[in-house]
Parts: sequence; structure tokens; C-alpha cells
Amino acid sequence: MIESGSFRDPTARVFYQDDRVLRGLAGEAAEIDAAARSTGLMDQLVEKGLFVKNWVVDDVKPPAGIPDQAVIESTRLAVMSYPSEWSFSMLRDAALLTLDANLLCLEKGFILKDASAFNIVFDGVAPTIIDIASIDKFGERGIWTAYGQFCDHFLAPIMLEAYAGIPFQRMLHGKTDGVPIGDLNRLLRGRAGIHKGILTHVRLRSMLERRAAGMATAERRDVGKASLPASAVAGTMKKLRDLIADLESAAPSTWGDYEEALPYEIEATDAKAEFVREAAAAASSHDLAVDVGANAGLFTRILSEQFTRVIGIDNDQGAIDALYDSTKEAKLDNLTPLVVDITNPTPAFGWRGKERAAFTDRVHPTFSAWLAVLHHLCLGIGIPLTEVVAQIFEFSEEAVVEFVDLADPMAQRISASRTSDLAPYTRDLFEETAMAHGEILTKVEVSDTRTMYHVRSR
Amino acid sequence: MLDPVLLYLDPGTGATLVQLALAGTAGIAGLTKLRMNKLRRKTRTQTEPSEEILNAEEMAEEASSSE
Repeated sequence: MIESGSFRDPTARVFYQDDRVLRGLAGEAAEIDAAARSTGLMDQLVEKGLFVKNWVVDDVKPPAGIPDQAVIESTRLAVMSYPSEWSFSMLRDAALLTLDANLLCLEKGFILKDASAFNIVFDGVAPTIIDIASIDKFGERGIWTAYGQFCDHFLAPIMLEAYAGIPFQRMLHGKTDGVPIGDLNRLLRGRAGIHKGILTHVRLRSMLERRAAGMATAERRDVGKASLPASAVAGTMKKLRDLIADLESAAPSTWGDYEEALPYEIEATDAKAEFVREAAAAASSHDLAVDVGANAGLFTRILSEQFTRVIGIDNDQGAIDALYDSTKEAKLDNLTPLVVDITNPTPAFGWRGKERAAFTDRVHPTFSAWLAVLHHLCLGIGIPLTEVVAQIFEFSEEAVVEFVDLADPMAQRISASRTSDLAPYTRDLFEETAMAHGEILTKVEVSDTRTMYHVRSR
Repeated sequence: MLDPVLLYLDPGTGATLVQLALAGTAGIAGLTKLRMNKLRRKTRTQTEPSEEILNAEEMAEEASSSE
């Protein structure tokens, strides 16, 4: 099967055979790849974790139409995610990784010819570059062709969140080309424009892009021939690295004081944790679990003890950022936190609507957790309970679900401002709908208003 | 000439100019060269009819020198 997202580079195409991830390289790309290996560059990139582990194979014949000068196999990573699903620290780490890989390449006379954030995948919480064919020759002089793309894919969204306090995820949702620098220039008017890096990477570039649009063809061709010594390109990259490493998110987050301010949601935590631990241990498969509404990840971590891979999703980027940091600190290598709104998960997008896959087509959990989520979806957002239960059974074959009664203080708080009639929301309806889709394996009342269920589809 | 196949990513004229502007003395040298080329072309266009013809000549020159 040929990867539908790898058509942009005609010299390297990704295809899959028997669960193996392979790349067919054309003439010059194959030569560059061989040179990168003979100089020891590829080994160094892999050793430092900058590139995914990859090796040359000779037992594979690429499908018709795929370059076959050389075939490279790489490790298959379990969780594919996109930039709009990363938190601030994740995008920042991915940006620094891209610059570090480029700096190492420059030392050996190479460079990365593109700087797409889609070239990066998180293996647990460790970002790594999967587009091994992005290495290009640089030599003594050249130009960083991917500078503009690096700014659009990394610098602009990072600045947007750091300087304007706007979470970048919603600006990247369904986007293949990052945040246009001209948009950022217009957004960061007035005082927001005094921050570091704005004058050059945003204002100057916007001005020069506008001027370039009016340039004669001959003049544009001249600019296309311009080159710089490797040391000057490395200097620009190092300055960008220092700039990005210092930036912090200024976006508001709802999770911040959540666990302290709203004690109802953490009521009976020990009993809930015990239930989740037992249900996870009894699960029929321990492949991939998703914690929906992970928040700061208390239960995601419990799931990570039992499952090979765990993804914690939440629509609050601040919660996911905190979970990313704590997971890195705890050195857990099987947990990936992602900013995903379960009421609007990432759709398929890009060329022909197929270049990038929908979240639900990339992630196929065998087990999921829906803790302190149902009342937010039903009472807060207004999705009928029967719809939510159908989604739970469609999402994974097994799940742990917490049902919160309407009488619960938190449920009361959520529904207090709703004036329209709510769709029916009762524990009986939950159980009845669950049994129509599958079976209730175990059920425990952890408090007067909260009940835990372990369910499995038929 | 640059290989069009390897340049599937357009570096962008504006983005290239920013890189030159950020690159200190090496960049200034590059920008000055661009400016000189522009001036030279301007002087030439005052005596010759149109830029399209110039471009065609330039392309022809490049094509013959690469053969």
C-alpha cells in the first residue's frame, strides 16, 4: 500500500508491506542517502534520537510507480499524531529537534530540505523525525530552503500562543501548511509586536514577501541563486533555537486549579482508581488504550501500567501540556498526551481530503476510559446520552465509564445555566443503551451520585 | 542550474531575502550583489525594448552554457 501523504517529494515515496514501513528512493535521493550513511551522519541522527531508526534493505521490491534505486525501512511508530494535536511544549520540542537535526547535518555538509511539522512523530513523549529522505546536500554554500516553512509550521504557532495567548491548536486544525506569517503579522499589532523575534521573522519577512510578489521574473531568479556559507545558515538556526527555547505559553487553561477548585470531580478517587486498575487488568487485549478527557492524567498513568501504549486526550491544551511534562519527568515511554476534542476530533484533510488521516482512522484503541466526561458531554454540550453511549462502543470494544447522576453537585453546576430542555439523562437509560450495544461486565457505586461501569461490545 | 526535482519545496523569494538580511556580512554581500544586478538590468532596459526579450536571451545563454 502506498502512503497517500507522501506524494509531495517525487524522489522518495513511502509504502507499506506486511506491516513494514518502507521508502523507495529515486536516483539522486538514493545517492544522497548513501552519502549520509557513509559519512556517519545517519547513524548520529538516529543515535541522538533526532531521526527514527532506519536501515537499507534489499529484500523488497517497491510497487509499480515507486522509485526503486534504494529501499529504506524504518521502525513503525504506534501513535501517529499531527501538530494541531500537540501542546505548546510538544510543538516547541519538535521545533528544537528540527533545528538540532539541521545543525548536525550542516556540520557534515548536509541540510534538511523541508521543515514540515508533519515530518515529526511522538514516540511516547519523544519527538523524532520520520522523513529520512529529507536530507539534502549543502556543501560549503547554499540556502536554507525550508526557512519559510520552518517559520510557518513552528515559529508562527509558537509565537501566536506565547505572545498573543491564543492556543495554536485551533489555528492548525485541518491545516497542512502552518500559520501564514502574514496572518501572524496582522494579529500581533501594537504592543504585541515588541517581543523578541517579531521584527525580523514576522515584520521583515511579511514586508519582503509583499515586495517579492511585485518583483520581475529576472529579479526573482537572481534571488533564487543567492547562497550563504554554511556557518551563516547555522548562525541563523542557533539564534532561532535560543529564541524558541525561551518561549512559554501565555494561553489560558481551564485545568489549572481544576482539581483543587472542583473537589466533586475527584470525589472517591481511590475507589475509581481501584476500579480502573481492575478493569484494565481484566481487559481482553492490552494493546492500545485511550483515556478520553485525560485532564492531568491521573487515570492515564494507571492505564499505562497495564497497556503497551496509552494515549491521553483532552480538549484543554494546558492539561495536556502538564501531562506531557509530568510524563517526561516520570520517564514513561508508552504514554502520549494529545490535544483532541472528542466532540470534534481531527478530520481527514489535505490534498484530495486524504493527505492526512482522521484521528479516528489513525487511532484504534481496544480499550478506552470515559471518566468524569459523560455529564460534560450530555449536560454541558447537549449531546444526547444515547449518542454518547453509541460513540463509546464505536470507539473501542471495551471501556470503563463513570456515570454521574443529575443530582451530583458537579452535574448541577454544569447544567445550571442551560435553559432548554435536556435530552433524557438517567442511569437507567445509560444501562439500557449500554446493554443494547454490548454488556456490562462490572458495576460499582463509588459515591451516592457516581457509578463506575466496565463495558464490552458484543 | 538548480535541479527542479529536488526543489519541490519553493524556498520563497521573501523568505530567502530574510535569510540574507539575518546572515550578517555574508548576507549583506548577497543583498548588494542582488541590488547591483537589478541596477545593471535597469540600465540595460533603457536601451533595449522589453524585459521578456532579456529573459529569453538569458535563458538561451544558460541553456547553451549548460550543454
